[in-house]
Amino acid sequence: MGQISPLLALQIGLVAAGVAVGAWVLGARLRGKRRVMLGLVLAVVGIAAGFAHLARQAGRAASIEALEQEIPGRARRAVQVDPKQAAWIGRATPDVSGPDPLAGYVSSDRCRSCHPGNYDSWHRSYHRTMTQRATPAAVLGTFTGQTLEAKGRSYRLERRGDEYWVEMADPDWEAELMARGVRPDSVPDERAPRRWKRVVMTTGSHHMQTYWVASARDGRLFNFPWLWLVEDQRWIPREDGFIRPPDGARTFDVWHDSCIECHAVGGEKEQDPRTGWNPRAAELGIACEGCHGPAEEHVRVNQDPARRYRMRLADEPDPTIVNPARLDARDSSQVCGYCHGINMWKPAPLASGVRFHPGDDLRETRVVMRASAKAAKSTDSLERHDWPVLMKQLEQAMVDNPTLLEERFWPDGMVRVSGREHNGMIESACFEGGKLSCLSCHSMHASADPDDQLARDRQQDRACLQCHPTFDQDLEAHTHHARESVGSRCQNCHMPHTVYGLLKSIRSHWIDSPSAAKTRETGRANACNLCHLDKSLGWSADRLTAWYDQPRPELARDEEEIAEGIRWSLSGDAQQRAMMAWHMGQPDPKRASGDAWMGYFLGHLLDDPYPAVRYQAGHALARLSAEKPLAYDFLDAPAERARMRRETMAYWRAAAEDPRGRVADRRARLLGADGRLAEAEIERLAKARDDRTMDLRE
Amino acid sequence: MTGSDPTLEQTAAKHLAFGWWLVVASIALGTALEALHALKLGVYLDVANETRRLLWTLAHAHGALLGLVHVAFATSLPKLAALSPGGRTLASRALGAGSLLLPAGFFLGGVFVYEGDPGLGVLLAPVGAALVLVAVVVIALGARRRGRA
Repeated sequence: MGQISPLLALQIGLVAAGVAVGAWVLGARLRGKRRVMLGLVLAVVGIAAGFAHLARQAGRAASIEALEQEIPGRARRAVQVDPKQAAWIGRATPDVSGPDPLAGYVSSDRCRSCHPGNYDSWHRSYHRTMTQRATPAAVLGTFTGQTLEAKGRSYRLERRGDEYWVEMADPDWEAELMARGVRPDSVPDERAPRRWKRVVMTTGSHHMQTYWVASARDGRLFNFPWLWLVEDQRWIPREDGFIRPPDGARTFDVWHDSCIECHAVGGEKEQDPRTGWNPRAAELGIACEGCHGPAEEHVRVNQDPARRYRMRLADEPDPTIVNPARLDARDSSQVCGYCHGINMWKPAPLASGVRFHPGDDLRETRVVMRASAKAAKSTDSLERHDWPVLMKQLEQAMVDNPTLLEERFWPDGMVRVSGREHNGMIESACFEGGKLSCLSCHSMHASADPDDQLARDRQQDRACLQCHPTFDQDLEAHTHHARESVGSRCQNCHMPHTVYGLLKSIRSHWIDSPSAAKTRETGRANACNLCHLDKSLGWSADRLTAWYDQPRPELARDEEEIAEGIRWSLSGDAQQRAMMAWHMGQPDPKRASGDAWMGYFLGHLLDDPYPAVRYQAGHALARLSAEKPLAYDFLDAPAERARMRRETMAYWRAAAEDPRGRVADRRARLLGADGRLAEAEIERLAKARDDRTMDLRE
Repeated sequence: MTGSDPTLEQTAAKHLAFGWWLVVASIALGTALEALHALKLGVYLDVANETRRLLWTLAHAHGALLGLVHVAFATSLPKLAALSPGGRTLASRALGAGSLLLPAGFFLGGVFVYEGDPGLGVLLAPVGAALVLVAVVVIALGARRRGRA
């Protein structure tokens, strides 16, 4: 029998006491006065309990109200304006003469009564919880009085009732330094003015969560620069959650800079010269109107029941609302692509206040960034018109940031960072055929799992077989893998995990076929080698040539001979190393490649300069053996990391070697003729590591 | 009861039986609904089906209440001195029909639902409600003091 929780015991006690009192009152045959007295006592106790409860509720309401003042809401911010400053500017109140862009939004609460099922499926999604008020229901991180330290700054975390507080360097002071071109972390912590700031808002809830504190001067929200990792249940400095230059500055993010556009509905970055920034939003998180557009008119006309039944029975689109499922593939995908894409505002519509709404052609207001060779040859008139605009904008942007494209795309124009699936998908032949949209595979309201939101009836190969049914008839002839094996799943070969972000590898949404030539050209591992980590690129090229008549590319000696899992983890760039380490931790590649040999090479990565690579290596190693628990933290000091690297490599050396000659291709595994690890070769590859600075913009 | 009126007695007996059977049916429905709760069946409990849950609950509650109204009508019939035979017939028929249509409308409206809107079966509910209203108004008028009859 399990333990009874104190809360359950209290409830049982209360019920028992209530029954006892009732029985006593009924059975005691009390005389009038005693009965009245008992009634009075019970009434007083009840009223006192009620008042106590009310007081607690009022305290909570006041706390929430204070929080609401700090986070972006619908209303313009009311700020006392210095009369002298107002006279100088010439206006006493903010200019609100134009139409309020948030006027047409009604919020998801209004949608619920007519669409309870869709409301429910949305409510269970990570879209809803992307941005939340920092309440106990939303905050996942621990605030237990601990102090977090990184890059010369310390932060003290505390929970006060239902509120979360951080003592930190005054973010307004840091923002001022930034405005003056001074890196805030260049000023020692002792000299920074410190403030207790209430955490007012959260971002994320699925993989990681970060937090925001409010400016004391205007409506800006500053990032509390730490991430709470949901799976690991720990804090890490924000910059260590991404592939960023390891010696780079601490990140300093302001919510309205970019988050507001996609992590809220109808986000508006308003700025008044006197009141400062006043970011506003119709609703926090990605809610109903984020995908369906402003619903005020829809709600108004559908208060008429006759109209409602007419629309429901006719099964026709309601012109007062956008239903992405009824749009054509391109328009439907653009609803998602507004946020799940890399786009740049077109200057003209931005200046005139024209914003994208679901159902619009995204390209009217934004240039969808493409870096593929075929993008330049697009026959679409709008894209042809936009091409010079894009080139000009890119040229300007790359003056400040020469690696702008490299931070987002592989050399052939395939997106390499997470959250930008639209840019990948539109390069696919399936999309160009006019049929593929995000909703071909995903469903926001009929998904099996909020993770990925894949449509319930389009799991596994079914999404692809909608348009390619013939492959199912003789699947093994196409895949050359057993029908039920992971090698026969469409997406494993045509959508391999070549995108990186959120501390993991993610499927590419540019649907294409594995190609050794492309791997050689781009440095992006192909699907074959992402599963067969112990095989070389030459091995894959042989099979792709034999099975699919692909021309065999000319490969360098290392590419012909050395396992891709080893070659990329020793010589690759930071993303390639992180991706290899991630794949070494996944069950399918481990089954296909055997895994004991990986320990040695994962150990090698434990002292990688990039925290993200070390994180992946540590996680893969932790899954490698239950007998060898890994006392390793990827944020340990360099000396400790180096010690762990040495120890781990020594521990796994025997598993990587092959003195009994069981490994068919010793050269691929960097083993000498005696089955021992070829140290000189390992050293040579490690020295060839691609150490160019990587800064992936997830 | 003052003097025997076979028609009145027949009407009272009919409503008494009808009322109790309506209570039986409604309690049976209520028991079935409780079973749906106990078995946690999504077809009844999912948020997407909250309209169905509301309508079937209304069917159960209205059925039970109207059954008791029938019982009350049957037992109070002899005392409704101001109720004419024509009024009695009208009240009896309206109450009978309304008591079937109102819960049936709620129940059928919940069988097929359109997200937040009930199925077309719910159209029976306002008809039933109007008939019940007519019936209780007639009965209330019939309950005036004898002297005014």
